[in-house]
Amino acid sequence: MTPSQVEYIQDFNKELEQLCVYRFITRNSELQRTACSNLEEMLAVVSQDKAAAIAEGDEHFANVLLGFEALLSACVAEIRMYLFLKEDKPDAAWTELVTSQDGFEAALRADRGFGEDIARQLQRLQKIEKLVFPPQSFLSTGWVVKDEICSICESDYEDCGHIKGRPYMGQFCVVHIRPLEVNHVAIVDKPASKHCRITHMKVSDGRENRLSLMIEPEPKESEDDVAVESEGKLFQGVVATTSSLSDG
Amino acid sequence: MFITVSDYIDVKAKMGELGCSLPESGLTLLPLNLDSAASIAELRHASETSTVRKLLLQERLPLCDIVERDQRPPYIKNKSADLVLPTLYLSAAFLSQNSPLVSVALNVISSYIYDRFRALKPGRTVKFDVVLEDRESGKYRRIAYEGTEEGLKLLPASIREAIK
Repeated sequence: MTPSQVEYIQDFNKELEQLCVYRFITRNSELQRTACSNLEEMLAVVSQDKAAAIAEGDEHFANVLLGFEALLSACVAEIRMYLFLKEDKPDAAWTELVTSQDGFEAALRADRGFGEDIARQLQRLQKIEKLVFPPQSFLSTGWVVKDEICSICESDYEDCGHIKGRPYMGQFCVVHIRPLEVNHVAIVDKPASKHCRITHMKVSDGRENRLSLMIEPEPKESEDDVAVESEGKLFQGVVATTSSLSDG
Repeated sequence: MFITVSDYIDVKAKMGELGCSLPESGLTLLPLNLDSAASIAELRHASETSTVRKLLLQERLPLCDIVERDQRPPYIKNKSADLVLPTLYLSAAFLSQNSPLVSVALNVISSYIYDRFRALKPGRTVKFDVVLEDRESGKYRRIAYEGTEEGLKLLPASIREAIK
């Protein structure tokens, strides 16, 4: 790594640290919104710098910047989670919590330099998940898949040299799958995505939100929602998101 | 974490029944449902098969396919956090002639699992089966592992024990 890259990383860490003070629910919402805007501006700069590193063929630094992008996205999502909690929007808050966890996980994969501190951030979010949100019932879908396409080279994943989940020149290798059929939907303790969960329980006058316990009217059908019967009760939930057709 | 050792179906006979080939000279990745499939079309590979296959080939380990490229079975992709690896088949001939390569293969797989789990939420487990052919008895044994990546270290000893 060049001296200027070391300096870049030090400056980034300093700037991020200043904005991380807003990652607490007690902070003023307006200040938190400003912090989110600042983090998004940082993200735009980092993405530009990553593009420059890619253009120069500097894979190591491009991957470091990929990790920075993931970190910034994770921090924005965490602050948004607090904002949504204060706005009485627990489902949106849950989505941001999971996005934040995924961002920190991605940073860990981007470069070996992201180590213990990121792991601590993940533990912190796991504690928030357990203390702030009630236990969730997660859903897992099993697909039968014939074709797998590599996101890096867009060729058949079986034939290329890329390994899913690993970073290549500032991008993670993701496998895009083309399902032949849905094999099953199951309630699991450890889902691949915590976005996939039971969101509502059907009741006589509508549906009960599993996070807020509020009775809500039935919405128009969503393609992602599914009804699951368990112990004589009918539940609704998300079984797939756009990322469900990707692996890695 | 647990490792269970049990008898397995006659792999050679099953392969013959299905019309698959079973090369003795290399490592082979078996479909998850080999024991129950009635035809090649019914075979299903574990979700991580293509990745494990690539990792073994990148280490220049001898890997043999049981069917032609265009007959390769589809994968079962469970959107669960657990990692389901393909069943690794070790023929008696391969074990007797290339036992150091078995350790290399297990190390490659362990490193991949470590990398995957390093960045993932805690509590995730890996499922990994190894099927061995016993030259003397002509029988097949399955060593089934389910647990964290840490426990995988015990697998080579279980394989050695099963070979005895």
